[in-house]
Amino acid sequence: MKSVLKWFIIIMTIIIFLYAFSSSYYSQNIDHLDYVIALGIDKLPNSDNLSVTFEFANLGSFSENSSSEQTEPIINTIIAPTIPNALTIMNAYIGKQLNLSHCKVIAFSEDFAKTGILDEVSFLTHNIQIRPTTNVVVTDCNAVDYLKHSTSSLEQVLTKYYDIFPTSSEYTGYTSNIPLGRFYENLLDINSGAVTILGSLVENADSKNENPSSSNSQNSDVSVPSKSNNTSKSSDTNNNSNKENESTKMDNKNTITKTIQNNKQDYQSFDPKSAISEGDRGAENMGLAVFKDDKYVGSLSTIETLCYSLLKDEVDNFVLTITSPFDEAEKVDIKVGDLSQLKTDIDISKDTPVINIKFNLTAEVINVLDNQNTPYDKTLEKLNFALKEYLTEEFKSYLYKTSREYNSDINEFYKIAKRKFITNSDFSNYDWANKYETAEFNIEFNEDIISTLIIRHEGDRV
Amino acid sequence: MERKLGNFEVINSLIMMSIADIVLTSAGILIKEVNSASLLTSCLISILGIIITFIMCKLSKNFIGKDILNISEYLGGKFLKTIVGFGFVIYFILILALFLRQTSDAMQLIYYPLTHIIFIIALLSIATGIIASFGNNSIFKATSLIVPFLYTAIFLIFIGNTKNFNINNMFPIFGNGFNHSFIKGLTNIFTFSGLSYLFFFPSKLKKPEEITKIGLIFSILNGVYLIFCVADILFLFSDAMNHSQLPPLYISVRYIEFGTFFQRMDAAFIFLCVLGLISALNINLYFILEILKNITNLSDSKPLIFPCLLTSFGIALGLKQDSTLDFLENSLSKILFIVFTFVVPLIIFIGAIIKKKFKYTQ
Amino acid sequence: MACEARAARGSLLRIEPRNFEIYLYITISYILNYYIVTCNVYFSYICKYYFLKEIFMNIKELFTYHPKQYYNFELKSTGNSLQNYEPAPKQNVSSNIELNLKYIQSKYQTNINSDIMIRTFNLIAQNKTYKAFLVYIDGMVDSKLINDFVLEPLMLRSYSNTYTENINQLISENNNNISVKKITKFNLEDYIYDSLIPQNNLTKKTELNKLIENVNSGNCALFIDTLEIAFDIDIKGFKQRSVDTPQNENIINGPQEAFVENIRVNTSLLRRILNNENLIIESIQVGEISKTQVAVCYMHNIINPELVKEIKYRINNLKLDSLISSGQLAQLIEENEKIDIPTLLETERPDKCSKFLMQGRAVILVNGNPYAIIAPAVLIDFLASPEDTNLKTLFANFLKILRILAYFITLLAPGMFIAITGFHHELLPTELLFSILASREHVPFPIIFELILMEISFELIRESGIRVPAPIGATLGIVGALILGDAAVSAHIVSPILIIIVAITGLSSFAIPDFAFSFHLRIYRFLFTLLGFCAGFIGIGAGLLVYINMLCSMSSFGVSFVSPLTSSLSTHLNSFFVKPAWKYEKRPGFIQPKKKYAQPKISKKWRY
Repeated sequence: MKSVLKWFIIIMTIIIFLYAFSSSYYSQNIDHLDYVIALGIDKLPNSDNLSVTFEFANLGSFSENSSSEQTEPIINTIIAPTIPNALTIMNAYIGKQLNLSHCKVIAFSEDFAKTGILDEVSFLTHNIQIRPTTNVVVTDCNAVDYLKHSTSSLEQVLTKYYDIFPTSSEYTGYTSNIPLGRFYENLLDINSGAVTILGSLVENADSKNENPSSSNSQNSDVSVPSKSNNTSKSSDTNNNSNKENESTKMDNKNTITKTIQNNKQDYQSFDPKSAISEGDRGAENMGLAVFKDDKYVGSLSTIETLCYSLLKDEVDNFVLTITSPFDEAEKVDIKVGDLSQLKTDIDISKDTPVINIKFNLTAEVINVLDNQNTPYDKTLEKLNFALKEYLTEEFKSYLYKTSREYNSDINEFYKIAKRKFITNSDFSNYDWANKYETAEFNIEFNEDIISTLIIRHEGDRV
Repeated sequence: MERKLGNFEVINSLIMMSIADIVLTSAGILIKEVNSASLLTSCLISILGIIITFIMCKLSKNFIGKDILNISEYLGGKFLKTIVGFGFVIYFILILALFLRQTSDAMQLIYYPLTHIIFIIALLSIATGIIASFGNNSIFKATSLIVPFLYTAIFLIFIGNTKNFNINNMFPIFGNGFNHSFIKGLTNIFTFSGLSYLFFFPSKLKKPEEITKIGLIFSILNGVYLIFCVADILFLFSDAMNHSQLPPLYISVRYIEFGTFFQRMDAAFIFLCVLGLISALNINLYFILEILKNITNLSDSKPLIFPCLLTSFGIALGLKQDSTLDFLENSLSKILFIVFTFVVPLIIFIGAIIKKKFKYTQ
Repeated sequence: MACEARAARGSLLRIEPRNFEIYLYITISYILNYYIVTCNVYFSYICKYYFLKEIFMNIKELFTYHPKQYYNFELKSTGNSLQNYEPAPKQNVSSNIELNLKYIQSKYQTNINSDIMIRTFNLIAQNKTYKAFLVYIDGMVDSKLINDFVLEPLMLRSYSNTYTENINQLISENNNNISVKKITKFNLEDYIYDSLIPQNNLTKKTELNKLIENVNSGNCALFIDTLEIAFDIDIKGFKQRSVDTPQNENIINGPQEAFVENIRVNTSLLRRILNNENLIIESIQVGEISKTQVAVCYMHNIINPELVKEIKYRINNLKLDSLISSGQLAQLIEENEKIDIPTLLETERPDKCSKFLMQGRAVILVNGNPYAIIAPAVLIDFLASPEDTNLKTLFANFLKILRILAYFITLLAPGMFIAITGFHHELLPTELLFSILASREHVPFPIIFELILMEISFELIRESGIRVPAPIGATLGIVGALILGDAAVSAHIVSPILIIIVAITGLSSFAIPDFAFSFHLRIYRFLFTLLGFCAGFIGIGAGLLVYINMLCSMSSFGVSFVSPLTSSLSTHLNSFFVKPAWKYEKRPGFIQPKKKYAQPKISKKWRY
């Protein structure tokens, strides 16, 4: 009898536990979930409501007999006052429960980002489903258009693209891997500035660019993005206009006209939208968006993004094109790699902080030079000098932009400055947030161009 | 007769108690209190822990093979033994209830949003009870199988997060001030929670004369674990995760990424942690039962499993509000730890030594 | 019955439809029967044709009432139980042969027992005739041996048995010289023992019980008139299986001999490998009725004597009627009753037994069973293959790690799958998750149901594969594969990923060398599946910890079941990974052998 009672209790306990936990099982079982692969958040004009776009992968593209139409992701947009409300409405609309654990990209539109996004980012960061390694993108068009134009026939599965595109920062430097967690931390800290990836639509891409609006969208206004006021992306490479021999100066708060000394071209400052003259994918992710407090204040061009990546030590090697020091009509391609440790030092003894940065780079020239006039060692010396000059100029321009124009310490110099202080209160008293605006920068490059492909002629000294 | 324990098993059990505490709460509390000085504070706490462990073990060497209950009986007879025993029982039951509640809260938040917390606590309690019923000191063997993996995990987490680290997070070096960071910060010695159980092991050891060696190895390993844990959290986060409900080490694991395949390894971390946490619950329960058996002269402590578990189950259910839990974690457990790990044993050891010397002189 | 009960209570009488139909049938059949009989009587007068009468008789039989035809047998108790474990009273051999014969006939019930043979004959010794009889079991003895070496020397008059007791001097026949030799007084018992029966295994016995025991095991007993002893002659000649290759423990590189049912052959196999006088084989009888021979084998100079004592104590203190198999004996002497994990190793390989004997363990053989029991056994022994020491260290360790992996896969794979798909799907790479979702689009069942369905199907195929006749074995394999594989997926009953999970789990269970051990894994994985369904990794973690504790709480003859794994760092972990052959210096410490060292530090003397 005792064993019967014991078995009865055991079986009843098992049944009770099965029943008790079944609700959580069924709510999280993969059969009852729809997985969002990307989120887009726009603010409706003249309204407090948000337009939240959910991008789902088309499961047909994962089955054996998938056709090309089935590879297109499914995009639904909800208008709601906040993101939690939008999630609730979406849950009710699609039937299955939403799951954000495989959300790869969160896109905010520029217009919305300008108004401040701390609440939304806070909600998303503390949501247990969203990965803290999700990439954050600020788009200069509507977020929904950006998501719609991100597909390409290069990959059948869009999630692969969302996973991989930030890794191009390691060998180009034109974008960066900005996870949500790091972005949120930087937004919270008053001394810090935050950056996200800057996304935009490509102007001359395939027909995808022709009809940006879709039937799924509930937005009334879907327009082709226009250039913002911050014209940090300068003219394209087709235009070979000479620039004046002026130092970097500010015209007004919102524009910087960049010039380069000695009539040399800045080949890295191109507009990606127009640089991609024909493309399968309608969106590109080159450049960064800069935040001060929690508001979007401006963007960084490709070369500025490269400078940011170099300071963050995120780029392993990259290719630069500079004007040849031997012939202004010619270009020299230099592959920069083997970046040894960056040294940054901050001097707080004066009223304004002085930030000294030292780079050690190793580079090699990757195109063939034919110079009959200069000996080989002198060639390397000249090339070194040209590269150093170029990089120093670009860096200074970038750093002063973040300081004077944006007043946003996106390079986290404040963390290095903290070393000089004993306690947090001492650092708070220093008021880095305001002092950064007047900071001075000293850049030092020690490059070593180790090789170059030079056609030697008879009688050349080695 | 119960099987005697080897040094390896004892060290692993003590480490397990500390790991459970560090992972769940104490690392987060330390960083919240001391901010950027937490790495230095944890180093100081480790050194202090080693010194205190050494002193305690040296004092206990005067009574080789005797645990603290036997020494208190020698000092003050059965009366003192009963009081000390019941004190420890209440302390351990509170720790058990806290562990249960904290673990269940975290699990409910992450994986069981629609399941009532009573079932999650019940699941852990039932697992604890079943393991306790096996007897034969099996929990110590099982712990010695699991601890190496748990211990190695912190190094893997540290290495996995290296690319996201910012070493400058540890500056300013003194955090919120010298007093706040070090004087007040040293109260975080409760990260050495395994120390409370060290005094009950001497009567169970195969070689009780090696208690000092055991204590030192445990405190060194504990210190290293604490430093790595604190370093991992500090270098990864500056301040943002301090107001999260989840353990910060768990959040740090979510950042680990190796390509597109090894992502979101937090589920694997939870799996390991559950093994460790239930082991910690069992070790705690084991000592509660042993103390009660010692005090009440029972031959077999198995009938006490159910009442002890029921008590802690009830207390765990009662800790509903965040403020109560916060008070218990931040204030009460610290005070109780200091009382039951330092004050009471110190008084008992010193009193017993004096009594012993007095007897010899007589 | 129901109607009667209701009527007794005074309620309205309601007839159940079933009863009504029966009564109607009976009534109609009686009526018809009456008329048919009546008609038949009349017709029988009218109709003289036999066949019409037959037909009517048959029709009558068709409609008449037949009594119930069921066979009513119920097994009832015989009253007092004959459970008597008191030893049978000793009965000695009588000098009167008739008494002995009657005893044997009554004991064996030879009037009904057909294969018990009693051969009475006259024995000639010293020119005197004595009555004698042989008793043996037909089929258990070698008839030729009886004829040539027992009956012939005893029955036939020959030169060797013509001495009489009256002769007190011997005249040499060779050269007709007279020489007087003193002849000792004639002793028939010694005479027969020393001179008449040319048999190597011949013993004298006085107790009839012992004789009967030996006759039962294949000997024959010789009773002689006037002697108070009988001769127990070993002339076993029953048919048995010859030494063959192992059926269930196949290896590639190693001996291919296996134990057989006969205990003596098995002990000889051990002796051939371990040619040492210290190999002790003690014989114990188990089972009051079956009197099964059990042999406890050990190396006397290596094994811990306490272990031998404990084994013998346990075997000697078993009170049961019969012992049929070694599996039964293992269950009877194991310590753990509640937990179904085996703690004693069973093997059919003599080389494996020899290896364990040299480590300081004991081997128990049971007559009639080709499996030997090795005691004590620890967890890692169940994952070791006999081939490990025959291969290079790297290969052996690789295979060992593979088996350990197979162990965890068998136990945890289905549970993990359920847990990941139910709670922890963020662990899956996104593309894999979507391809699982796409494959499950049309499957109507929840994953847990699919999994249990597939697991049970797999177990059914496995179980039926044991008993399937050889001609249709291949067909069954194809059918099983088709059913489980292609058809189920095409019909959207299960998803392809589940087939892979079940297949891998099944393959992993076959990779475990020990059958009983892998069986427990097959059972326990259902528990882990349930836990994974319930609570994900937390449930599996809790279950795994309970399982690990269960293993840690078990012991095998005083040795902890997880012995080498939980040793402290200071002890020699010499049983976990396979070492090179020159590094097996120490025997496993957890067995506490007498001789701790198996070889010196430098065993390769040719090299160093």
